[in-house]
Amino acid sequence: MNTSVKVVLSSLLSRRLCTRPLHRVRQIQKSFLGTSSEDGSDPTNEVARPPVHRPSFADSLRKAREDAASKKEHSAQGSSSSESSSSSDSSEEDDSLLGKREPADLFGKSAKSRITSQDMFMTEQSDPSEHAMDYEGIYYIVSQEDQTRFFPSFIDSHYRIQARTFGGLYLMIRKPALEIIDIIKKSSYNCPLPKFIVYGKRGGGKTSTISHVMHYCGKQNHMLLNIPLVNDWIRARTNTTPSTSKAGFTNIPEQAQKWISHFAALNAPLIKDMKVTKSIEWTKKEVTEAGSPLQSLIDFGLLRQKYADDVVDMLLDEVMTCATENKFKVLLVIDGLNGFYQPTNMREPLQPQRFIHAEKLCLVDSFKRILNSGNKNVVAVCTVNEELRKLNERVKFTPFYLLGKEASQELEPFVPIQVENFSDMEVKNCLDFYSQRKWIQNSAALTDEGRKQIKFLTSNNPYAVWKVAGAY
Amino acid sequence: MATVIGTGLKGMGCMRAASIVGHRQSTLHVQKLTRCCSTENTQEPDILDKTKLLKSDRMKKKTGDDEFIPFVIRGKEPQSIDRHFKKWTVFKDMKHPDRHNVMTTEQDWTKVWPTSGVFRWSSVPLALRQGVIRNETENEGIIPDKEGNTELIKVPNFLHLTPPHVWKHCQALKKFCTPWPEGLDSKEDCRLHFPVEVVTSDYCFAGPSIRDPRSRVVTVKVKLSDLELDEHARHKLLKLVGDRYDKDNDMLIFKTDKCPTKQQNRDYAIFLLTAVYLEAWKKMPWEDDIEGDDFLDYQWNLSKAKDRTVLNLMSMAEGDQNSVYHNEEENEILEKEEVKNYAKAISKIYDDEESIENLNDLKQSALNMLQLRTS
Repeated sequence: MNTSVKVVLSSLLSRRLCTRPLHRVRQIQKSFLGTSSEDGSDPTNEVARPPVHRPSFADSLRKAREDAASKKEHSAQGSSSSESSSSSDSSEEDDSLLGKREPADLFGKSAKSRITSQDMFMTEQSDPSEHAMDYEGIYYIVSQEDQTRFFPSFIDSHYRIQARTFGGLYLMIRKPALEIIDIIKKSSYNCPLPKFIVYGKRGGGKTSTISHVMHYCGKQNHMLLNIPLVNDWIRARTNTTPSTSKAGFTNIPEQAQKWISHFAALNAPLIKDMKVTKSIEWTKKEVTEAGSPLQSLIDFGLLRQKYADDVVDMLLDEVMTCATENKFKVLLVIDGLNGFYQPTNMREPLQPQRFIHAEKLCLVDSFKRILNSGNKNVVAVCTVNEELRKLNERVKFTPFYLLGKEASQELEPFVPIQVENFSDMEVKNCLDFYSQRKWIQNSAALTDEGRKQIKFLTSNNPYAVWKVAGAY
Repeated sequence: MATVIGTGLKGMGCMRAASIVGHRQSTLHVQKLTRCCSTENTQEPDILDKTKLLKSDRMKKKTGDDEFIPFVIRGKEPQSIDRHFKKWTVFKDMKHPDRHNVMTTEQDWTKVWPTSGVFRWSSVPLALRQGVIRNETENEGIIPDKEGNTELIKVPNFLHLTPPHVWKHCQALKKFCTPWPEGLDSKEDCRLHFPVEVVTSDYCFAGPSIRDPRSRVVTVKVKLSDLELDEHARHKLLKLVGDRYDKDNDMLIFKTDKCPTKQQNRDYAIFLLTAVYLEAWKKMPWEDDIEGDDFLDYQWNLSKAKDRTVLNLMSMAEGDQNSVYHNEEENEILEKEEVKNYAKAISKIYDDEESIENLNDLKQSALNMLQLRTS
């Protein structure tokens, strides 16, 4: 095959796929999973689901239940023990799920029966701290508990869809994430830690890499400061107001509030114990006193949109002071760091003929302060994303190009980590996984020829594989 | 007389025809009149030429009427096709054959095509085709032949510069040449012994003036590494010459055409080279304030990034007694092998290219410098 043709085809295809409207994908989801959880009635679900594969699942489930029942009768043991033996993960989650959503549970149940050593592309090990280099290229499931805690609002709509489809968040264990985790594990937190800048092609798995790292650090009781997408701050049509605390800066209070709620949801257990160290007088009546719980500051930020940006600034200050006092470690996760160093789409509130530079946003300024503080106990894992740039400025996907000379000098020393497209082994595992999850519907795609075709069309780009496999 | 008959022949309309006719007719009339008037036998018609008599007889036979002789005007009736065709074929036979058809295989090409010229299809013995057909029906789907092909005229040709031509030129120029100096076997030798290269051109043509404005241009080339320069002088010289430095070949190129004559331009170019070289060795007091961005190459040691990195390393060493950077001054830290490698990797990215390989180098050197252990 001609490689140039291949590249052109794949680029065309990925562009085509990226522009595919989301609502259509959701429609597919609905028809695939069954209409809704409230109905719960079997006939409607059966109509909605594809006719070929569904009965086998139902049968297998019935069989499994019958087996369990027969075992119960034969052994005359307690019901709880048999259930726990049948499902390796926590049985409580299953019960809670059964009540809520039947079709998803069908998938989950059938999957769990198969998450054994038989499947070469899956691992039962859902704790990322146990992942070693020999786990590379294998999927693991983020447990339901972790999913609700660390990924309350998903980083990407793409992941939300995937998690809903597969009945759980599955992440592939890949080399760059393992590398970062390995370095973090071995380094001592007494000194300033490096910034990792993850770069790679579009759809190459940068976000899944940082979410894997985030999962690991969350498990290790790190404070997570996560910006899901910088794009929301610099491209969104939100209200802009001139800052009252910093002259010449601009507030984006809606986004700030959003971030505060995201922060509160991510770090709920750690926030409980924290106290405000400095007292601040917002107005004559509204005062945050030193010694009051941090939750009060968060509540104030959510209540009073006007001061949200300043609250974020103060929250970050509090986090930093706690980090210097060795109370906990901090992980800073920013998806699209280069968005901090480029002009935004928003106009200046007082001079509407001018666009705001991202450096002149209060939020960006306070995050940059942490990033360049050189504080101990702080690790930063960021991505650089070419999608934040204009269409004609996407020549390369490398960090120095995307950040620019000044920004990259400001961020030094950082460790660039490349996320490549799938290797042959990874793409094989990925397609195995998709076919097992029935993401690939067409039987032609399960053959070797079909797989070759998918590889050819996508050039092993993970996002393109997901889209093309779904289109089959 | 002639005018009278001319008017009588209405409808002829052409004075020339009338005059010719009048001349002939008048003689006939005179003859007839004399015949009618005289009683004696007329003499033999010696005055009339034979052809005309024959013609009139033929006409008599045709019409069968002796009384009226029809008047035949030459050229009035259309010529017969046979005759026309014959004439054409005769003309075609007379045409010279194409030269390429007559040419022998031992033909001296330089005599056929002595100088540069527009393509002549008749003298080039090559089966050439040029042009475009829009569809299969046009020219029967075949690209037009060279015969009468204007497309071939548009294309510049080098038929005057074939190997035999060059050989002949060389033979002609040989008597003006001197033997090649000994010891200059390679280009490298030439550059070693004659580091300054001066390029001029002369133009020779037939015209009212022997001057050509292009002949005054002089190019002086020197390899930069041949000049004796220290680090400061090299940087200053490069700043002074600007885009006259060819980075790929490491050459300084001065091209001068401002003065009217060649000699003046040459002197000026040499003067420029000398002045730039001498100026580069001077150091002004304000040159100490030079910053990192003023350099042509990326200078990590002069950038703000260096300060940040050193601070970072120093604060790292505070917490860790086993660190290499423990209790070290800034200068000592910069002397470390790890930091030097890192600076090299960074400058490589800025100077050369931000390729994946260079970034991987940077990653390794950064990990080494920050003393992060990887498995």
